[in-house]
Amino acid sequence: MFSLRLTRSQTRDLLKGLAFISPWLVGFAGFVLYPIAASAYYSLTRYDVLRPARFIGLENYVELFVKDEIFHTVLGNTVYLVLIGVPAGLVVAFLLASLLNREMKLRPFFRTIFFLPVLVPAVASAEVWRWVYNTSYGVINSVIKSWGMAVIPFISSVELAKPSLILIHVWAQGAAIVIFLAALQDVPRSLMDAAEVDGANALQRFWHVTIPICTPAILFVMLTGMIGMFQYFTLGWLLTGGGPNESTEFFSLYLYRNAFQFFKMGYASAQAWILFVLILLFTLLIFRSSARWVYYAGESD
Amino acid sequence: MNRVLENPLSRRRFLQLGAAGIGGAALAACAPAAAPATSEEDTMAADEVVTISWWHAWGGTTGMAAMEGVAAAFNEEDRNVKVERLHVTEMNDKLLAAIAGGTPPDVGVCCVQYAELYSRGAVMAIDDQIDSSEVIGRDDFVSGLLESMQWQGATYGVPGFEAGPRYGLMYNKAIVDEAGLDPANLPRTWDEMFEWHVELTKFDDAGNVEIVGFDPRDATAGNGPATNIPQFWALTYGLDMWNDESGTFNYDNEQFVSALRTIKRFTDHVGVQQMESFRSSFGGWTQSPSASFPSGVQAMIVTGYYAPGELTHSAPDKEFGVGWAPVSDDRSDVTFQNVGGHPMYIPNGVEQVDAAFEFIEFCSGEKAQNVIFDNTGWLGGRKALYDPELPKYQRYENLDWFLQSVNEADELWACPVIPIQGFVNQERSRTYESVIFGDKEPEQAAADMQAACTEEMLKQFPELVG
Amino acid sequence: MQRVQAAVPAAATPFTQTTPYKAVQRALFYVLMVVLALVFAGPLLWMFSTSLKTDPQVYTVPPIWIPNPIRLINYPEALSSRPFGTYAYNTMRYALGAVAGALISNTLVAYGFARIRWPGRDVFFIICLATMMIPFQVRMIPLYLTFKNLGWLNTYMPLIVPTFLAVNAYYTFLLRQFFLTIPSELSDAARVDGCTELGILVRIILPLAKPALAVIGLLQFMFAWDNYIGPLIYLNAESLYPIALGLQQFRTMFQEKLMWPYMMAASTATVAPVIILYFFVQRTFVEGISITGLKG
Repeated sequence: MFSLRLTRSQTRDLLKGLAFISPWLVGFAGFVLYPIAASAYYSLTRYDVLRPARFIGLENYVELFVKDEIFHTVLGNTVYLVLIGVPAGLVVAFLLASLLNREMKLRPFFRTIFFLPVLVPAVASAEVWRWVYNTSYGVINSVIKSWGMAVIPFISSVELAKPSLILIHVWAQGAAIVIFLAALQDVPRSLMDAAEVDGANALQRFWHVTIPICTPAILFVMLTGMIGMFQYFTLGWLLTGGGPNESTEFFSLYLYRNAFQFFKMGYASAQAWILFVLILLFTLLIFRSSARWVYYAGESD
Repeated sequence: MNRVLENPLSRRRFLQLGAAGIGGAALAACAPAAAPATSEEDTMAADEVVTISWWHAWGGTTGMAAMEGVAAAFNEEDRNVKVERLHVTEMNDKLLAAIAGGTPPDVGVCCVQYAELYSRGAVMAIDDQIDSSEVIGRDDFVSGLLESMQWQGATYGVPGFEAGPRYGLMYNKAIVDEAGLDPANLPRTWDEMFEWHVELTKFDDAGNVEIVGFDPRDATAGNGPATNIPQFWALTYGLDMWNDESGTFNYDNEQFVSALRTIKRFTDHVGVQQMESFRSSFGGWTQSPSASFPSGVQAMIVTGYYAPGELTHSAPDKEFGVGWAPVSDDRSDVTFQNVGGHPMYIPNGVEQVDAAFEFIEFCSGEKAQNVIFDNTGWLGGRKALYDPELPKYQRYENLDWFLQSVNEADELWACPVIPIQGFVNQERSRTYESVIFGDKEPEQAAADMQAACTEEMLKQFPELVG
Repeated sequence: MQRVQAAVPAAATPFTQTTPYKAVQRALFYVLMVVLALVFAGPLLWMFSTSLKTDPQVYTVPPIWIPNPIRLINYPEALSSRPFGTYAYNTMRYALGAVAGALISNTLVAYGFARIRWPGRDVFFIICLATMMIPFQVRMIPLYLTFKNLGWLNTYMPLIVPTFLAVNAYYTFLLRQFFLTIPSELSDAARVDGCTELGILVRIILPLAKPALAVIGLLQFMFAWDNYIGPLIYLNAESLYPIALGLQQFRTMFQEKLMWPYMMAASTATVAPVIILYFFVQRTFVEGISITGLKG
């Protein structure tokens, strides 16, 4: 990649590019590289933070893959969350953003309402949902009970706990909604009008004009959503704490327990690196595929 | 080993010892020989004021008032030491980073996994300070408390803020009356307890549970303070689950299997799914206003000295009673109590050790403990204040029972100090769930728990296992 | 709540002169929006309602939506129980610094990743993205050591300086995606006119990327406003604490009276400034302003 056979203009572009990304280069060298390298080293040690690290080679990795049953459960739970939760969140956010982009009365008001959930502090939002899902007096189950039927054990059953958490995720799509709203501003009015003149109906315009123009933002939300979902922590920690019967024990919860409750920072670091490889694989896969479906006006040469 | 402090002494014998003031002396004999006091390094000028930093995890408005009150009371005194308080909401994360970075506070209290810190040399042994102190002595504290802060013969903490007896069977008077049960005749064994559980548990017409007699998870405050959770069930069967001389566990045996069977029996009567839903709807800290017991939908729990004060806040309209925690059939004549609490500790690397210890002395004294009790209703560890006749205790119903229980119990146990406590807690909840969900037979679950804990101990402390 | 319902008839009137079919469609649209709005606003309304309750009303079955009595005093009581004025000042300084940092640094870096072709760019970009993939929990302690060695503990430097160095790849990536949607003909034309890259960035790209910049400012502001673990680890004095840590101070004692009303009063007061900020940001989302006519 950095062979010396660069032409003069390539060298000039290289220097220009490096100049623009130089803040990041400094930040990376100063605040990112060492912590990442340290965690890579810890992953090869037995390290409890309080005593010196002891080098044990790949033992942590071997144990995670071969012996640790919880880790296998955790992997399954996490992949489930990513495969179902990320697409669900993305579709809902995009549809809501499209609705909110239409001309309507009180548009700023509606836009604010749909953005609100992401603003509610996690502690408060966990408490609200605990109440919504409550089997004894929750909004849904108290109605069900008044009909004399058996309650729905949303977050207390092994089968429903993960879908119930995904529902909360889908509800709190404020960040994705604003990103899509910003992206929707790039859909040229003239293009829409032209499509309408050509006889395309609303659905066709949405599918053939709106979505393609928004694909860079969709790629962004998909990728960062995936990365974030692999590290899903707060609501799982506050609402289900990994239960029932380990059905919501996700990667970051288990990693956190190992690092700060079991004093196994080395083991947790090994988990972090497995997670890294997993996310990187998903990322490369999505990037590979993005060449076919993402449209960049700025890359049209 | 969890020291069985007074067993096999009779209750009367124990009380005599306590009255003569030699109970504490007997305890002190367990501690390593006291080194002579060293104050040579105390070279600072007499009028130079030293400021120490103190981190605590308790917040809320009453908790903060108590912490601020203690700091103010200390700073008002004519001393060369002043304290600067910091409320830390996630102590585990911050403390680990600070210790790793060599920037720990001078004094810490609440809420981390203390045993892990003691055993890994993160906290100073303060036996010398205790023994040369003019303010505190080992027999000033309720028996067993200092022991719950010792590791390998050295003492790492002093009970300052919150410490005391942790096992009382509390019941909701109205629910028990309505079921026609006799509170004067509380269940003593798990079999009797199960009969009460059946009588007290109520379902609606659709089969949804409305009132639970006793959720076995609410023994020892469910997911509350992590210091002694795995111990309760073992103790009711008279089982010492941890041996700290050999660094070994004792889960793979008939008593623990019986305990697991009992847990499953209580759960099955309600139905595992219903019990899980019930917990998720009314879970959390057993005394909080949204929890099952204060809400009046659970008839009985096992809880500690903090409950009477907290319940007057969270369930002011309800009346509760208290008695001894249940035991296995063969121990029906045994009453047992367990003490433990939050140590105040000095992290390793602290330079102003004497100043830090001066603050610890102050916090374990009567003045500070009164400030704390007045604000929060918590007990400290000071024996002189464990007098049920003191008027301040009349504020909270049932508190006198807890105060008296440390003198009256046949067995008084100390919370064990297990260097892999966090791991053991997780194994306990896995074991518990694998049994109630029917994934494993109790025998298998007990054997697996034994194997997992043993293996982890060998990994983290190979030198101690033998 | 009442406002939303009142909006339906008011909104329906302008469409009376259109065809009945369209009017029905419009009406259905508004019904849908109102129902969705209720679902989405529910938790915030609950938070607000709880903030006005007395303690026993919090846990009543069925729940009470309109408290009686309305306990407005929860707000002054909660906010004066801790130095929330100081917390708010600290948070504001932190948030503004972080927003400035994120906007300046990410604009430059994203331009380098999106609008200049240079050898090795994609590799560097993947490395940049990869930094998001290692969980904070295992980086936290080495990072703490870094800041300790720099002498930055107990200051806001560990929280603000990195934002000026584009350390959060999320924003870089977001801006890159937006820069990539701007037609390359625009910059090519400017280059021919002798414009420098910095000139192109400032004069052509930034005006077109206004909505995206607004989003980054908003998200970084929200992040700083909420950030809890960073200040917790790096700050050792309550006089330096931000609001997020102040809020947590109510949470750490579960058994306490009035905990939830106070917590919710403090939460509501905390969220209000962000809602106001959002209100201004969403005004930049006006359909088709950015590239209208450019490709037509």
